[in-house]
Amino acid sequence: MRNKLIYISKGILLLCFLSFSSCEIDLVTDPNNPSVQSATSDASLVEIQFLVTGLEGGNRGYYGSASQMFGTFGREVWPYFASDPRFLGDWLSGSTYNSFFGSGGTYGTPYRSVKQANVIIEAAANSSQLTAQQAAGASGFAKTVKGFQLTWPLLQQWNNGIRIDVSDPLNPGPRVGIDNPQAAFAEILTILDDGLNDLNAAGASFPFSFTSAFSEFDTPAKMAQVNRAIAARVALYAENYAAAATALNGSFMDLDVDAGSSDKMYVGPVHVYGDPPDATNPLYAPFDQPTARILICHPAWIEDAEAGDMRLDKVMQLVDNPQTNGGLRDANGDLLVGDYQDVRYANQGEDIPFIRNEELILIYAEVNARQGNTGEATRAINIVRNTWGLADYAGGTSEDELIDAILNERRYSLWNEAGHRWVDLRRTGRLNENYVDLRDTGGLITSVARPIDEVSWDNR
Amino acid sequence: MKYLYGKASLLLVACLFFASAAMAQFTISGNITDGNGEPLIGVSILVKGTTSGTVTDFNGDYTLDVREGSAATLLISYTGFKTIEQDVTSSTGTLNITMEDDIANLDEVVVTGLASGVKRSNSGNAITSIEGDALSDQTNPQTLDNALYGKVPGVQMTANGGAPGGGINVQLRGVSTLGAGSSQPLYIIDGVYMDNSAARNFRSSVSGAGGGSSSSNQDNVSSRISDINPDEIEKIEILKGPSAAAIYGTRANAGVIIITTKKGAAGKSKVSFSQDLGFAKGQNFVGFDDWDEEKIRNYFGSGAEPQLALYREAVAADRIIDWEDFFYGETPLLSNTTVSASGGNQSTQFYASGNFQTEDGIIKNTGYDRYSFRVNIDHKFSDILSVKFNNNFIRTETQRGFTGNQNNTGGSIGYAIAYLPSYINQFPDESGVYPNHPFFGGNPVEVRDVGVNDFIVNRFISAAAIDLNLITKPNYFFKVKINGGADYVASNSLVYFPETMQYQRTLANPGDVIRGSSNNLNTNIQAFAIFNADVGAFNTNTSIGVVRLDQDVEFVANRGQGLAAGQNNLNWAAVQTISAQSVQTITDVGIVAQEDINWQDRIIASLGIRFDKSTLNADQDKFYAFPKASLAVNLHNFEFFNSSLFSQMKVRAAYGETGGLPRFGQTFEALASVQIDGSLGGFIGNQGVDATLEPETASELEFGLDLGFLDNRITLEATYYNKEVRDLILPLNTASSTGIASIATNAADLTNKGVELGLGINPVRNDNINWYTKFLFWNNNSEITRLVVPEFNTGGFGTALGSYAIAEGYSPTTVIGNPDNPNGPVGKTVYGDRQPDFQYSIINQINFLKNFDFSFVLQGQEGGQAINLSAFLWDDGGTTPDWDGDDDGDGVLNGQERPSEAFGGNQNAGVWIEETSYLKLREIGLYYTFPQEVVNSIGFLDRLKLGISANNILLSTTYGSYDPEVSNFGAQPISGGVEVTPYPSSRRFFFHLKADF
Repeated sequence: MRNKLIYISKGILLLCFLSFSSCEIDLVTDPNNPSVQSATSDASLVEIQFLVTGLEGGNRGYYGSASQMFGTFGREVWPYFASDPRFLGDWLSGSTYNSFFGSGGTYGTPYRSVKQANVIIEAAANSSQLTAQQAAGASGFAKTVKGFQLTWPLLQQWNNGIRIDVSDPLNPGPRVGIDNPQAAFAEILTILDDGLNDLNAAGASFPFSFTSAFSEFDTPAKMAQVNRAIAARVALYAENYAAAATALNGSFMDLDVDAGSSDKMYVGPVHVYGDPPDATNPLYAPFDQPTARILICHPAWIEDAEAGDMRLDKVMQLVDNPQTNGGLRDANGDLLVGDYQDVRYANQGEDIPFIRNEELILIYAEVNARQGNTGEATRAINIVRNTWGLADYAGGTSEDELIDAILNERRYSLWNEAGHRWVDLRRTGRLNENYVDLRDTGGLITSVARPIDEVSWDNR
Repeated sequence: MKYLYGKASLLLVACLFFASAAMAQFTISGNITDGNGEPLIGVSILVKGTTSGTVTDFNGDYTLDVREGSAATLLISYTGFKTIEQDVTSSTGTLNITMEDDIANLDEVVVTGLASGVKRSNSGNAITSIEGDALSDQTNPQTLDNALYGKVPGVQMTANGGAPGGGINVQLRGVSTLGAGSSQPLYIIDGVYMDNSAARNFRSSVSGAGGGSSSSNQDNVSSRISDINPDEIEKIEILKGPSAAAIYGTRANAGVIIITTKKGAAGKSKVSFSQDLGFAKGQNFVGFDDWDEEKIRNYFGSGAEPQLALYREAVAADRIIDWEDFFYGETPLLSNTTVSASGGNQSTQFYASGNFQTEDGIIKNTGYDRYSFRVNIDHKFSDILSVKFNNNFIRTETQRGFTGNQNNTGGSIGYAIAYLPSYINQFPDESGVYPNHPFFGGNPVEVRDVGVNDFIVNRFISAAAIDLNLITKPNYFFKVKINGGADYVASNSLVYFPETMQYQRTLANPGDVIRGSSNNLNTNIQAFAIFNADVGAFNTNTSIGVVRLDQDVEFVANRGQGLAAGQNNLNWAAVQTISAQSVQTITDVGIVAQEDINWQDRIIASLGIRFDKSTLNADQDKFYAFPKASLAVNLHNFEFFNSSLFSQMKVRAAYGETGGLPRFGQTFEALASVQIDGSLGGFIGNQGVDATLEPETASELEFGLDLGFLDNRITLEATYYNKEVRDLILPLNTASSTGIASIATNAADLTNKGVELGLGINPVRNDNINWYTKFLFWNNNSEITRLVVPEFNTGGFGTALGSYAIAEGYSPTTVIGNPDNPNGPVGKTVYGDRQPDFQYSIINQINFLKNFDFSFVLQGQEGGQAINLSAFLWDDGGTTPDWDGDDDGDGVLNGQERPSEAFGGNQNAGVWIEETSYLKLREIGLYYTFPQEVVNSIGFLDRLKLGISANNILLSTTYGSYDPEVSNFGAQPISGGVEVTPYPSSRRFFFHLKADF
């Protein structure tokens, strides 16, 4: 009996001990990542720096996708990507559907950077730890990137319009620019203008540092030139030529180009790349390897080039490994061989300028052509042509002829730089078989259908 | 909380006032045999209302001292036989008993609470239990879960593929989560919460499969349930729905599978040796299209000439290869060796087992080895205190090779051979250099020969239990039961593509290796107080307890690219990065109370409630309640019921609720790190947080009727259930323009309704033949009844190739795809449902001429759809069997017509969506047990059994790939049923030898 009592007491003790100790839990906080709130509630300069660097990382996200998909739409390139037949099947088909294959890189990806920019704008406005100048610097940079990133979904969606007010995820704003994408570009322009005002109020230097992407543009005044370069492009797309001309004046455009050197053509902010864990240059591929995934120059770009055009040096002919893919055939059903590889980049860490002087000069030419300044337009065209070893432009000077000439220079100067050809032909009403070589028997896509999540959100 | 425990303590104290007095004592002895007169060893004989008892020895003899009183009732029980209650008095002396087969297992005790169980005949739930001999004695299953096929009504099991080490999606009573919580059942082994998470090995990063959606699911690792050796299992009980699983509360939405391992029995020590030796063959080949000159011209058009030259060269060299047969045609050896010892005396029993299973795959350089060691010890210190220790060490080594999806890397054999004409030379030259695959990123022979995909697991599962029988009286008893344990899983993975491989050579940094390592520790403990009393004609059982589960998960994977020649150490990589590193800490706490009342085995009622909180919830300190109730009425035990036809007539009803927790991290809004140009930045995650997020809860109402006819030679078990899952956690898919892809929120309700029928017949039962046959039929219909977020599609590779729709009024596994259909869910066309219309199985066990046992299990399903993207690739690569046929006679070859139908104008995603009806002969076995006199004459042997068996040898289906069971994305609640050139499944043939010493 005594024995029993001892057991019973022990049992009770054990039960009590277990019941009390086992009901206590330590609340768990995220052991793996800082929270968003920590960065947005009364942000310190250190936190702003983290977000700005993060935005720089996000700013690059669209580039590979735009070059591949827009470039394929405009037949600058063919994607010999064996991993999924839809790269060719869908992209060359000329038809589209909601949540089109491979379209996220120029939609959701840039919008994530827009979100990041909005967080910085909000954090800068709410922080008690930043001076007004510091806050304006952060906000000015964020708005500049935001305006730039917004252009990518709009270029993809075009007549569908896009949402521009997206700061509240549960109450996104309306689509702007339905059947009138120029109106949406005009609204993006106001964001950039807003950013310019902030940069102008940001003092002489930023309170945070940039990567080498902006090494030539790391003061508010210099960043304002980047802002204006983007604004010039956006204004051109908005068909607001006066605004484009003004923006060019504030930009880093430099018409004083030495015909013997192309160096000045490449002046501009860049996307930086490196070895992992950094992002790698999306257009780099070792030359002439037996790969099943490579972007190949469309043969028409070689065939249509003027003799002596040094811009053809951007590609090199494959010797050992010309590409074929069962999904790429001509009207006879024969395989189309791809044999010119993009060789502009020497390694996967090489920078890519994302807006540069050569484009600005060509925007300058186009604006002048639109405004009837044919002489200035021709001068700008010739600056580009002479740089690349070509004689002065000798064609007609009607607006249409000049636009054709400028688009042709853009075709070679801006080849495989995030899909200019498709964008240019569409905005000038030239996206048709007269301008695009369709030997692949495919069709032309004018705009990508809206993503399902957008449609579903509107239909909810 | 404190209040409840205060009460429990009071109850304990009150119990102390009961006392006992010693009385007279007498002895009973005798012999116990089965119907054939064979002695039964290890039969339990218990004095009813006490803890005193004994077991029969090797000859079936027993001797029992009854210590109190001059009369008593003995409970004589043995697994598989009907329990006998026998009154004895001091004058009985010798009592010999013949036990009767319990065909319907009505006397088996099934679990109803965390610390209680009832006889199957009294259970208010349809609980499926499977005895160990049905798991591993019929044939040798690839993994433990494989042994459940066809034996559990209400489960849908779908293998992810045929790779060694297995991997099966187990869905009990339909879909219970749409992806947030655990979609797989909770596995409990000897009271320990098992870690059944599928660890990552980042194969999908090296092979590039991560380019598609759901990247992390494309690693194709085996599930951790495969670590358990089926030979060591005594019994598996399956709590299919919340009505039975409510006792497991917040983690039980997908059901609970309770595994009990073997234990020793008092009596003569026994050593058993068993050896299974066999081989495997690919089950079903597609039969790639032949390449001849016409075909080459059709496929290559004007580019055919160089191909024709290659073809002629290959023909001349007699080097036309059937690649399917070449890669999948190995005949690997399968071996499974187990040595076990068991025995003990009245106070201590032990069971020890060592097991080595080695299986190579039907693809060279793939295979699976398992080493398992177990020691189970039961010890009774006194009538009051007994303890139990179960310890298991397991090591598994898995090589699953490279199949399935890939992107550009060539890192999949199946994918590569879809594009490989039979005349292309892929064999290495004299210096060991592999030729390039001319139409793809990698040479599959090279991938097979030099690619490494190793996964090693070291695992300890330890359980301990303490039973304190504090008070034992004829009319009441009071016990405290404490048990707990730990499951520690340490795994290491190595995925390696040497720098010499075709795709690697095209990279800036050739050579790619990812080494992963994870340490997962689950610990759990529970403590219960149980008070049982006979009150008049009622027996009442009250249990109150607390439970706690802690989980710690640490994972790191490091990647090296740009490797020195032949090196796969990370130090020899030019670029070294961290692929992933994460820590998870989770604690669940619960409080449980349950009351069971039994009125003379006529009406049995059970009521229980569990309160749980978990750190996975948004509100980590909030308790959620999970009630349950069940009622069983045994009409045949009432006096008015007097039928010679019915031996059992039970109606039952049960209700219960369970929970499903958010995934770790879903309640945190995190920044992600970004590396750029040597700087570190923080980038907004694309997942928002809902601060009011609640766990998913499921409630289930189950009705059933159990009938037994003609002394239970015919039994029928019929169950209907309606399981409603509420507050399903779904991504509120925001418009992607907001930069946030989704916010995990309680957004949907779902119902699963189904019928489960089991008909057991013992048509022939005589001295020469005992034939038992069982038919099972079950179905499940799922429907989303409420959806507060916009409809969305999920899974697969986008709607152009088939995906799944989450939409109100539709099953969550509805297969949809292009083209647009304004009336369809998500505005797309419906192609069917991944879940089948119904499933069925036929189990037969025939014992004939006393010593022969023949058994087979047929299992099938009707309906169901899968997205066969293998066929999509075969069409693209010209390898589909009917590629150059022309079914509709329009002059366009099938292999060209299908892709053009799917893309371009028609956008018909249905081209490669196929029905998955099938019938499989899962198991078949024939065994011969040597007669006892023969065995005895050998001397040292006690038992000798030989047999042959096979599994998965017959497959009948119209599905156009290797196996209608497939999932490129692992075990997924919704988005399984998508295949991309998987590892083909195999048939397995065995010879068996089992001997007891």
